[in-house]
Amino acid sequence: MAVLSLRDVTLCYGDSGPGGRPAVLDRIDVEVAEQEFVTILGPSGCGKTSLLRLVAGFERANGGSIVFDGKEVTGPSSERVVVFQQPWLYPWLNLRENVAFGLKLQKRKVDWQRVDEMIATVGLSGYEKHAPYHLSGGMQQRAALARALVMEPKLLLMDEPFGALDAQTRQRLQEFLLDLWTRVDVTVVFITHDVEEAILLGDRMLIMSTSPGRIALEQKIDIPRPRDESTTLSAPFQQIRKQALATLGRVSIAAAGITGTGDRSAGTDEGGSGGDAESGGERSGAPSGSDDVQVAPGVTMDEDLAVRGW
Amino acid sequence: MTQTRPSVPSQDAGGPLIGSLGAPGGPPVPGGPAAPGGRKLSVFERVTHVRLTERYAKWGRQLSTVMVLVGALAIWEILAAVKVFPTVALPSPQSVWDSFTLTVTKGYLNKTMGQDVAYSVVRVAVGFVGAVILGVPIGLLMAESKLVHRIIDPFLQLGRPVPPLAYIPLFVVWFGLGELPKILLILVGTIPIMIISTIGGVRNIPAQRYEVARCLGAKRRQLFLNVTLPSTLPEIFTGMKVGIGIAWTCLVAAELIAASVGLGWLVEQAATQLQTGIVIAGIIVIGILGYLMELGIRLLERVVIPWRGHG
Ligand SMILES: Nc1ncnc2c1ncn2[C@@H]1O[C@H](COP(=O)(O)OP(=O)(O)OP(=O)(O)O)[C@@H](O)[C@H]1O
Ligand SMILES: [Mg+2]
Repeated sequence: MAVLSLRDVTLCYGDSGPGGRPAVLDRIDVEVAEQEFVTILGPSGCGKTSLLRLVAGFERANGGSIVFDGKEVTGPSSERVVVFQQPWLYPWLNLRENVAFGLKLQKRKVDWQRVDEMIATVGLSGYEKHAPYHLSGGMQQRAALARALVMEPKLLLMDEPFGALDAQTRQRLQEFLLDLWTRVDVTVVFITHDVEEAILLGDRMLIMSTSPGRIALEQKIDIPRPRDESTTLSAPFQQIRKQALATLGRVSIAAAGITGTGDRSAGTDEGGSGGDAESGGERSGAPSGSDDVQVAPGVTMDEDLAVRGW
Repeated sequence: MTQTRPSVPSQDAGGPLIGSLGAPGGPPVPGGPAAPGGRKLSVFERVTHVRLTERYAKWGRQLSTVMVLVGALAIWEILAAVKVFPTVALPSPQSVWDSFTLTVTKGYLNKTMGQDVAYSVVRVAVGFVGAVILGVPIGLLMAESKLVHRIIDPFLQLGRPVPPLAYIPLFVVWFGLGELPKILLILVGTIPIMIISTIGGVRNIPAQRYEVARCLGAKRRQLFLNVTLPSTLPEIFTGMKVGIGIAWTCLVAAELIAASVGLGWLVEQAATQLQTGIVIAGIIVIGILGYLMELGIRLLERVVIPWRGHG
């Protein structure tokens, strides 16, 4: 039973329509089942964060509908809590107060025992009184996770939550999140740049294409849990990884082609959004000469190579 | 100023007390020799070739400020002794000290130094606290409401280029020579900086601070209390540190022109009677008091927002 369903969701920033900027998200359809862990992967600028912000209720879509738990999403709610790439703890509160922040807002008496249990769950016992800026980046991100989980949200929205951490810390937190997810009843939508992370964590992986943002590939990940770092070496994992990289390569080459034409765009005719719409996921175009694709701001060759794991 | 020296608290975070008076330790020389721990050498170390531990280096920087002041005093003494200027223009440090103690104990024109200081300090305190109490809420309202901003901003824009001192004649006509015009002048002079820094503080709040709270269920009023207010505090304190200087300047100006007690009045009266010793003593007291007030705000800042500069 889908707890979250996006139908025909379209998002444009600024002027849309003919002559305006192309849609960032174009008629997205996504269903997320209860207790599911969905990972979303895609090249930079494809609209992953935008999609997450729509579900969080920070932004309204230009078209389509987002229904969560039977109700249309019209604004943020503590049932759908976001964990950002940066922890964004409040420096004037200590760790414990930060974790309890959402509970305090709810006007009921804060159940401090629950707060302390959650702090223990993320492995930060003993640091309750610490100022957040005296904790390491990984500890801060765990505190942000605790602050979200203590609300017992139905849906956890994570936007590259480990993206700012070093490889080792990231791996520890991935395993930590995997373990945590088996113990807490929560649906997760998890955005990442990292193919391995997307496969390791998810029940299902969605790969987005750029300009306009669309779902280029939907991949079920039937690798049994519990998973850990060694899972990444298994054959099924490698199988899915190969396919994901191929898809990413396809959508990224399209994106790289965009920057290519953009750079020497002197006489190049930037095609209308009509031609654009087709080019998203299907075409496996050459890196250059794809002059029917719009310029995607912020996409560089380097980032695309990084996405493809080079 | 100090960011090239690790492990020393920066001055803006309320660094060494004496440090900000003069040039603490001198500017670090790029590429110059480094002390153990990688920090740049202080003037003292470069002159004496003595290497200091970090702790002593901090004292050393304060010491150098003291040395500069002592040096200035010595030059003053010499200039006065060889009578480069007539004594009435530049009395010796000793005679300034005598004028000072005399004004403290016996008083000048029926007012002791203590009374002058008390009046001046109370006027500044009332005017400045009033400016903070009014300016911060006005700034918050202007930042939160477009309508309020549209109503108040023109006055702010028109009023700001007017030096506060230009209001003195008007205030004397309106309110006479009592305490009210002086306090009002301080208020009028200080309130714009408080309003503007408060607005700036609100405008600079990262959107994510609000988004975190919103997805945890915060309503508008809760956002204001739990995010806007604390986030704005650092810039409010920055405004206060600038504002206290403006307030003090306004006060002394008002007292110079229209007062019968107070440090500005003392200096003005002594000058008309060529009591240069008292004039200089008064100026030094004005300087020290102004400095102490800013120091007080720095200390308060350290207590109220120890998290300043973090995230
Ligand atoms: N507030 C905004 N106003 C205008 N354009 C925006 C805004 N936010 C995002 N965009 C544009 O929408 C597109 C998608 O941005 P988004 O941040 O969703 O991408 P992303 O997939 O999260 O990228 P990244 O992987 O780099 O985080 C980009 O082209 C970006 O320039
Ligand atoms: Mg993003």
